[in-house]
Amino acid sequence: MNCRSEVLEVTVEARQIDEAMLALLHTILLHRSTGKFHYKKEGTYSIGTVGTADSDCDFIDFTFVRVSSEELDRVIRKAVCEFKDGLNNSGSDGMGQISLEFYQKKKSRWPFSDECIPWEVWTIKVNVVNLANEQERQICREKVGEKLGEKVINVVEPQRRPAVSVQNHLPDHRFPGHFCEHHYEETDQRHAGAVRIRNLSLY
Amino acid sequence: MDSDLSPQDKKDLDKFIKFFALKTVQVIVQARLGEKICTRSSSSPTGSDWFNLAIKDIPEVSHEAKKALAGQLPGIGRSMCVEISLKTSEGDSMELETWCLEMNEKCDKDIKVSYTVYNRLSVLLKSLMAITRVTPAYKLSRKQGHDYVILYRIYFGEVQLSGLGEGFQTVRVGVVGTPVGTVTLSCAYRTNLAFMSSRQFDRSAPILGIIVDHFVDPPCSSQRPAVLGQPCNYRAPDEEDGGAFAGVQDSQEVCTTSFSTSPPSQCVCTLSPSPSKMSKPLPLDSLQLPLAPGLVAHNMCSSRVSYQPGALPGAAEVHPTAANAAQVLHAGKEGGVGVVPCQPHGAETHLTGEPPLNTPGSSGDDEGLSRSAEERSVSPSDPVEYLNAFTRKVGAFVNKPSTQITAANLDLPFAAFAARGLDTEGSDPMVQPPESPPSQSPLQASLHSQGSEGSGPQDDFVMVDFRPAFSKDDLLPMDLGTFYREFQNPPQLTSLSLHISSQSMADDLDSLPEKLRVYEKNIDEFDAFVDMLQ
Repeated sequence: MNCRSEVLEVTVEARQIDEAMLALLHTILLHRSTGKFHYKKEGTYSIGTVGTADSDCDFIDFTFVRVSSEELDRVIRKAVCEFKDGLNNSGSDGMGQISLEFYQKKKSRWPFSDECIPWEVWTIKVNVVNLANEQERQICREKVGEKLGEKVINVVEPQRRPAVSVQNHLPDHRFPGHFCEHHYEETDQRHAGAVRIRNLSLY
Repeated sequence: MDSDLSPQDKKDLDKFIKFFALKTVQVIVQARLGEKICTRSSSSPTGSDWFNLAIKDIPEVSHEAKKALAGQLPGIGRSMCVEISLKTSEGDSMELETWCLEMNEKCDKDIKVSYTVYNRLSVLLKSLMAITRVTPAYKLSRKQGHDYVILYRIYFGEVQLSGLGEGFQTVRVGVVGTPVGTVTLSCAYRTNLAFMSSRQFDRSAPILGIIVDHFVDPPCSSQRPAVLGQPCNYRAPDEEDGGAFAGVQDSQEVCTTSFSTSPPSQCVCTLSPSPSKMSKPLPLDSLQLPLAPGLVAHNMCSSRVSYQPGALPGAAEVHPTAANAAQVLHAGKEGGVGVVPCQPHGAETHLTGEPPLNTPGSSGDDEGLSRSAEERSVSPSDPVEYLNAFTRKVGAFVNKPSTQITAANLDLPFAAFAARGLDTEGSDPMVQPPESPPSQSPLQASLHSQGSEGSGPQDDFVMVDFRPAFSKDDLLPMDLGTFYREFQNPPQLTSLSLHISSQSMADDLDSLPEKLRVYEKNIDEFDAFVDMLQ
């Protein structure tokens, strides 16, 4: 199946990396999260409820909505923190990218291992700038907030297009056992397919 | 098209659209309440958790939404709109954005109603949550308070965007195809707040010390105009609904809502026009506010509380004494006017109770100069009257006790005239120049002179206070002020006079031929000199 790929590009200050990444990753995951499935007898199931939480950024004039899950937030923050550390230590000119990949695990017969087939990849390219004074930082704070708003709109836009791959992985009563195992344990949510965050090249 | 749908699917679809419309209104209004929204995830869905999302229902909002729907559903040609507007404490209102839930005729007959449409509507609601935090009205709503509130209005029918002004932007939240049509959710938001600022400044000039919360009743009273809509405010609902609201709040166990009871002392804000374009800041020049792009500036209060220069005695119209300064402060207190941080420095110094400081000969002391000039022209011959009429002026950098006001310590023009009638106990030579006999005072001569022989036009100003800073010099018997007065009107240089200059030019011309003859006679010497240099 074809993998849909979306690329987002942001230019931020060093201290804004965390919040900018979190805003975009959480927005994406919000759209790809559903309640947990509870299978009952007689072939019926129920789906849990997904809560949401507003998060204010400290270094950016921006507020984003995320799934109300502390565990998910921890996982995302850990990945972003690793990305930021890699960005700082790589010695690159402040450029790097991080990807959020949704894939499907296809169980294979022995001796073959399970096959991971990505069906959607979101790549966020980061360009880090250094600012000279507080005035520039203040302007950057507002500008980045505006830009993140545009990126959120860019994230929302593909949701209009019904992707066949996504549709196959949405809850469908005809394929109750089709969904892949979780990438990480969640109490109330699950995510369409499995999710992987990969730190790609720091260039 | 409807015949292709089973009755159950048709019933489900109608129900989905109805509750989607209700949830859409809830999401929009809750995003404009001014607080952060937080709901818990749950593994056990309840009856109100439509679309697998924890969206609490505010009863008043549900009531308004149902009243607007009036049993109908959003359909083709029947759009449901949620209008968000802003209303200031002065009564000005302005539409900020309009959210439209529409349906067109494009059908997707192959789509499954129960799950695909339902799930896509769920995704669309998530998109709505994200977009409602992105539009400019969100930042405004987070800062609403006593100065302005955010209102919402739900109406059915044709979309009205004329109230958004020119240049409004639109953003499409999402679309969901159904067997009976395509559901479209979009938002049109205002980008131009200029007219709001101009209306603000059409009012009377700001008065001093206006209390920010001088409105007894909050702008959002119980008598809300139906046209403007309902406030997006937890404080707005009636007491009867207090229980319901309490229920809503109880369910939000982890909600980190913060109800701002201390509103910011700011009026209507300007804001970045849109997140989707890199535009210049809104026309804030008319507001005369410093604003960084994108920021919501809230400094209109500076105009509201800015002082009228005439209102403050510290503007140096007179020279108030310490007693006067205290009276001003007292009056301020009686008037209930609080000290606003943006008071000018004049007020600060005024409150200290000290008379204003004037640098000698400072240009700011125009009043003093004009007065002195006036008095000078009246009668310089009666220094005693001068003393009585003049108030004390303390020169800059002068370390003298301010409380003692004696004749000897007064800095006066024509002190030479007044010296014979004054107390001579003052030992400060700066006050009374010892070597300036009255009759020979250059100041007098300059003031009453008809113009010296070589003098030019009359002086533009007169140095009234002859105590210039750092002017005392123990080495010379003459101080700077005396020196200045003596040489204030020097005679004109002879070389600058027209008569002499013309005479010298004529002499030069006459002597020119002789000089040329001499040079031609000695031309050989000059050539040898040039060859030597080469």
